[in-house]
Amino acid sequence: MKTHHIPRLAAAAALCLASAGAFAQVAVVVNPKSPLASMTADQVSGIFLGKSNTLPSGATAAPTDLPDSAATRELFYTKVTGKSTAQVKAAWSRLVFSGKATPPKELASSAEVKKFVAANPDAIGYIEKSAVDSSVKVVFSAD
Amino acid sequence: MKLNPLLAAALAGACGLASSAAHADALSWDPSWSFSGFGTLGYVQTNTSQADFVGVGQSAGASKDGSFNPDSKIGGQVNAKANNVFSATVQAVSKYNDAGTWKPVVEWAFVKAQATPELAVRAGRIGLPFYMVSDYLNVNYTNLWVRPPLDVYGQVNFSHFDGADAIYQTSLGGTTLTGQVFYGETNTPAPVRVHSHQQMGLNLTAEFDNGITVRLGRAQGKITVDSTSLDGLVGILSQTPFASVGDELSVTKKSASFTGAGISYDHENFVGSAEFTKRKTSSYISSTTGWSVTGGYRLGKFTPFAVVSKLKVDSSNVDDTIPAGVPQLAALRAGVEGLIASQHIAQKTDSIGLRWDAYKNVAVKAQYDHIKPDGGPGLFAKVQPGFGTSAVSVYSVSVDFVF
Repeated sequence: MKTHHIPRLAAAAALCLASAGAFAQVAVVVNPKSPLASMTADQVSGIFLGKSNTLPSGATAAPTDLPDSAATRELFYTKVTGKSTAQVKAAWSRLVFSGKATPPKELASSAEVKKFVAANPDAIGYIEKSAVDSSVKVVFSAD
Repeated sequence: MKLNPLLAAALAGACGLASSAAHADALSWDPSWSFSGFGTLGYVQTNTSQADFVGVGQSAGASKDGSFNPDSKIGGQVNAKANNVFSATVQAVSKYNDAGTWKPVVEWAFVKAQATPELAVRAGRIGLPFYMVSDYLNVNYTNLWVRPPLDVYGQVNFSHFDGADAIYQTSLGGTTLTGQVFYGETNTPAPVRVHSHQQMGLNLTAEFDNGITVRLGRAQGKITVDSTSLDGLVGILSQTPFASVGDELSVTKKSASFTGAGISYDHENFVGSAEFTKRKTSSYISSTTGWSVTGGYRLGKFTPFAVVSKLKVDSSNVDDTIPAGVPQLAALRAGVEGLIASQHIAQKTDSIGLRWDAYKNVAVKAQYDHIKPDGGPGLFAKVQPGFGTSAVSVYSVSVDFVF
């Protein structure tokens, strides 16, 4: 399941991190201008498992994923949603093949996620904690 | 696929609602599209040569001679999004059909207007929400079993309608509530043309945050089956004192309904589901009750599971008043009795299986089904005389994938 965002297709640079194994913590980030101060694990899982398409602020969420190959992705889903990669895949397949929802927009790297989140007021993404900077705001973190 | 004026009006209404309710920026042109695919390569073999084990809507399948027909399929889906409000979905599936070909079928082709974050209206060809897993009926990867239990899912052999629906979804605490109403018609292709008109239905789902999902659904409409042999029999009966038998057999604009309740559970390592369904018609198509109970336990990438299911014939709907033992009426009576017997699809199934999540988007499954027909054909095809009294063992292996 691949989502193509036509205007951004060309912009998607392959900045894959060589290894995310060194980062043991995941931070869920939103736009710095977002009214959200923090989110619960349930709220975050709701959005990333397609159960909810709105942020706690009421805005329609624009979630972003890291590629399947990224270690941070597996860490995020295991720690935050408590589901294995296969379970997440099955859950999204149910939503995608029923036309109910589109999976989070997949971006190539944490740098891409930060760029997207910084540019979009309703965006939500996850990155390794060490990559957090002032361009994004942390609303949840998992050790 | 034609849209009737009512549907056109519904869609226009939805568009109007969407335009007024949505933010101006939501209606901006921000196109994106995605392609997704799914498929199953499945092999089935049984221990009988008296009948074929088949999938829903098939007329030939597996016997002692194994077959890829019952479960194998490939499907593709395109989702195109114009902006946050308007999107379109088309899904086509190729699987072995009643006519003995793999001709692809457009399962879905609808446009959707997400009028508000809670309310969506769709028009076009839409999946019929008869069952717990109707939404992903063909996507075996999303299910635990090799195939959805036939004792429940084999009762109706069409899976979409042309029409419109409205879906309202809201969250109450950790619970997601979804309500759906729909209206439309279904026409299945040859060789058995079934028309289901004025179908309307309601589908309610509650998804709790503890992993439990509950579903209730009801659909009703009028069905017509194009069959020259059936029409011939009804025509002959109308010339006799047994015209009422013909009226009972006939499937011309006869009322039909399908009602279902289901519950599923997926929490930590436990997975399970139970479904109870009732098919009712007022024609020779029997009225049935189908239920199934599934339980499984995840052990890492392996999930062993067990299923118990049963399909019961509640009524043949036909009271054959043609007396037996009258030579002049013997042929007529045999015709009527034969038709009634063909609808004795009752059977009971015990299954065990194993799902292995072999790769991130590939599941490998093996399943053993022990099927006991109730003296009739059950859900088997190409049934030979003498079949129906002993149980059949069905062995299946499959590889399911999504991409």
